[in-house]
Amino acid sequence: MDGLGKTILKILFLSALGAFAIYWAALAALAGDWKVVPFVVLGAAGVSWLLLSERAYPLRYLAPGLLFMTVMVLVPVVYNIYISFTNYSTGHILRKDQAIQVLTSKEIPTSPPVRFRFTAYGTADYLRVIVISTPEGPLFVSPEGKVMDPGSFAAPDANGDGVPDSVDGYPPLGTREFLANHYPAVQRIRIPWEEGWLRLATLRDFGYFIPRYRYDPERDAIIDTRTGKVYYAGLDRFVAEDGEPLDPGWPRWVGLANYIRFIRDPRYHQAFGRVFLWNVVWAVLSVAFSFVLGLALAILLNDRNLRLRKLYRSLLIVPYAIPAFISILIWRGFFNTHVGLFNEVLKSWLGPRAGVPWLDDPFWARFSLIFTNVWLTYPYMMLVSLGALQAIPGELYEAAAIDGAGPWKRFTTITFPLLMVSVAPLLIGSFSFNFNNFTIIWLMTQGGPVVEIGSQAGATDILLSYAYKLAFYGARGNEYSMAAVFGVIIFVIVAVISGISFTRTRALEEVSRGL
Amino acid sequence: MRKLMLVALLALGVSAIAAEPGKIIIWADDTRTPVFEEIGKAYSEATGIPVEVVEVGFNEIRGQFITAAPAGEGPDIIIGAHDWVGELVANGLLAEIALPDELKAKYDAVALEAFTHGALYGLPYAREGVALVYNKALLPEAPATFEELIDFARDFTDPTVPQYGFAVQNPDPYHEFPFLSAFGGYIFGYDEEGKLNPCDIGLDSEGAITGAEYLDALFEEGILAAGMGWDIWTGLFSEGRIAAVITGPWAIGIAKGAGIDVGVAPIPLMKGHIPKPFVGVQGVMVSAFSPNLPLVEDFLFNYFATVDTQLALYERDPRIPAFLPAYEAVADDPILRGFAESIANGVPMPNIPEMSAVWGTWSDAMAAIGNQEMEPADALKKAADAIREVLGCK
Repeated sequence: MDGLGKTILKILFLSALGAFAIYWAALAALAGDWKVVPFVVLGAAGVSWLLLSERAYPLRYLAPGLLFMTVMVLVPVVYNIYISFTNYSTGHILRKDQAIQVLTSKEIPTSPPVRFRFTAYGTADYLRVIVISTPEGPLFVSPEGKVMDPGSFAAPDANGDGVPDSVDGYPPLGTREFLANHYPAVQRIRIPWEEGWLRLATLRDFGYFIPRYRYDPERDAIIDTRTGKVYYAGLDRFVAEDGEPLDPGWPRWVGLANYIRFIRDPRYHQAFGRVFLWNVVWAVLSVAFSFVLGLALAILLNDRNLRLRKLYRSLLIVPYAIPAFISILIWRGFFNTHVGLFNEVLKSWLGPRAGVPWLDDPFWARFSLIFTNVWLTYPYMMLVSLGALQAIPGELYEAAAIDGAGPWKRFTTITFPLLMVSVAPLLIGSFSFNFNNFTIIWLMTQGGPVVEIGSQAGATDILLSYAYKLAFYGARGNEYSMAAVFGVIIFVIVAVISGISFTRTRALEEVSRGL
Repeated sequence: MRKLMLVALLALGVSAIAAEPGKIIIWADDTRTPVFEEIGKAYSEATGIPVEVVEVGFNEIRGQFITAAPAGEGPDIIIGAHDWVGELVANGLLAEIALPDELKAKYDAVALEAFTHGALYGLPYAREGVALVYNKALLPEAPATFEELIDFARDFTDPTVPQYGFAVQNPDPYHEFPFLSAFGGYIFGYDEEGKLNPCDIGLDSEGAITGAEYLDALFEEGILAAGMGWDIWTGLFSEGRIAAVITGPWAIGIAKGAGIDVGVAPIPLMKGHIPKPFVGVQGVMVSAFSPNLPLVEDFLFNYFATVDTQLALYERDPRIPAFLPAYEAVADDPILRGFAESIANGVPMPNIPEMSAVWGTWSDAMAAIGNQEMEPADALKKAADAIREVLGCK
């Protein structure tokens, strides 16, 4: 395509984009979604700039990746860090104005309920007035909720039942017509009445309700209308002078308080060292054993003299092919102390008293977990190693053989170093993955067995499962902010370990460049 | 184009399906969605008010509701479990429901109590809880007392076969609670307002300890196997290797599928005391941010709280109806009746959010008891103290 065609296409595309953005922004603005407007406008402007500016040319190719990285990685990380500085948790999720709205709309139901029939007058498009039949006579209420002077309406009432036959010539509306056209306006109406208000209670009645709480904006306080108790606005909820708090509250910025709590409160930090140690051991041993096993099998399968190679290879990949969710549960069954396969086998060999408390003892639970994880992950290591082995040039081995190097020497000086060049980054990735391998821990042991009653951390809890327990089995429902603190800590740990490892593996790349 | 806009808006999280006056939006799970769609259609035809049912996975509803409702994007009605009530109320997300007296009389009292937290926050439709489920081929009649059951199990149980006269899923506080409650154990006591008091923890009360000792004796004697999880015991029960078990209606399908002729009865008296299982209740709740409370109440009282609707829900998922006229219509099913009679003795599972601090620690204590690592009194005392500390009750 020539330059002119390209330019025309570009202009057409940008015009369409601009039109779309304006339409969208207008629609969003009309719907009251003001938050959307700047995103749409800036987004469209950004795309136009990318396509029109010469200087932005290289950015055109980077922009989609950068955008997705921002949305999928950066935003969650930043949001997580932000939450860790707030007290976002059960009882603190609304805004303050919403909390006030919720509290002041609570009503004390009258018993028995007081209900007054109402009639609406108007047409589908126009609501003239609502007439509520109270014991003190008809109450004329405007669509805005104002009580009007009955004298200002022409309201003939031929049968004298208090319900006008028409008002200013407008007929009474049927329930269906009323609901379809005027419900949104009328449901907002609150008419002051005795100690409370009248509001729409059913499809045909207004009802009398007494508010449970009143908000006093001058004192910034909520007053219980029954007891007169005053709850003053604190930093994140309303609290009475005797210390009684009122739900719901709202979240607030707490600065480093959550981190200080993490350090000071033994509930959080006491088990941290133990959990962290096991977490590292778990990740290292899982990767090490599965890599050794996978590599050994790969070298074996790489031997052309091996018969039925393809069959073995297919069979060895089976653990990888079964969904982990299923196989982990099956393994858990195998390891059951009372009726599991392993203990059944042990019993049949060694007598009815034999058996190992596989998942009920801290050491054996850890053993069982690593064993299962190796079984789950060695096929991956095997596949990766098989590929890497193929990539090692054959002439290196020939040269080594000529120089008189034996198989072990060849493995340690050629195979292993060259293998590490391509496999080392994958091992680091595997380490990070296992460091946070919540699935297997949760499905096998849920962090158990118990180390100490009252400590949330069991013998096999890793940081993530520990954080999960603290967050969702916390003091009072969900402690999102404390979970976020753990998220930040885990993020830092994994980032540091990965960072160090990657600089180390760069040294390995030097090896391969030297070839 | 409008559709495209809608998709784009949705993609940005600006839901177009948000509560608005004059339209009822319901979040229901896949099992219950068709029933709500049907009564929603009937309601629309009668009143002209549109009713939209959005299908959300049962376990997703609570979390999504907590996020969506404050943002003004939530529904008017959600279905859910009664133990969500405390958390949702603490978050300020639920509206009180003014249930008329004539309807109140038609509901199971325990089910209504379950949805009560100072005021009524939900309208129940189903209740469930554990009972004694037995294999009629091994145990023709449910024993009247637990001591009889223990005598039977003493002869029948042989872990080397393996076969068990009696089993309870453990460590699992939910299933082991009837032992504690029989002797007067409880989780949270009530305050003067009738709300559960999170600092009155009865896990180490005298009754709870006596019950745990009763249970502990069964573990110690080898009548109960410790560490018997769901997948293990359902397997054994299906093979006809367990005569009786404390479980809920959710296990009946598996047992029947394996061709076991099951009977269901209230959990037998323990030393003359009635075991009180936890009762779990499902129902509908109304958003505090709904501008449609009058419509929603009209819809719920006249279209949802009816025998036809409750039976339709029962057809889709045979749980014990909380609406008594509907229960009576299906009570000739002996299995359903067995469970209903068992949970008639029950107590609602605590519905306050502090309960989440209880489960894990309590479960640890039950594990220590089952594994014979600790004496019941020590384990429960330690667990209760730990919970008090977490909840700031010291």
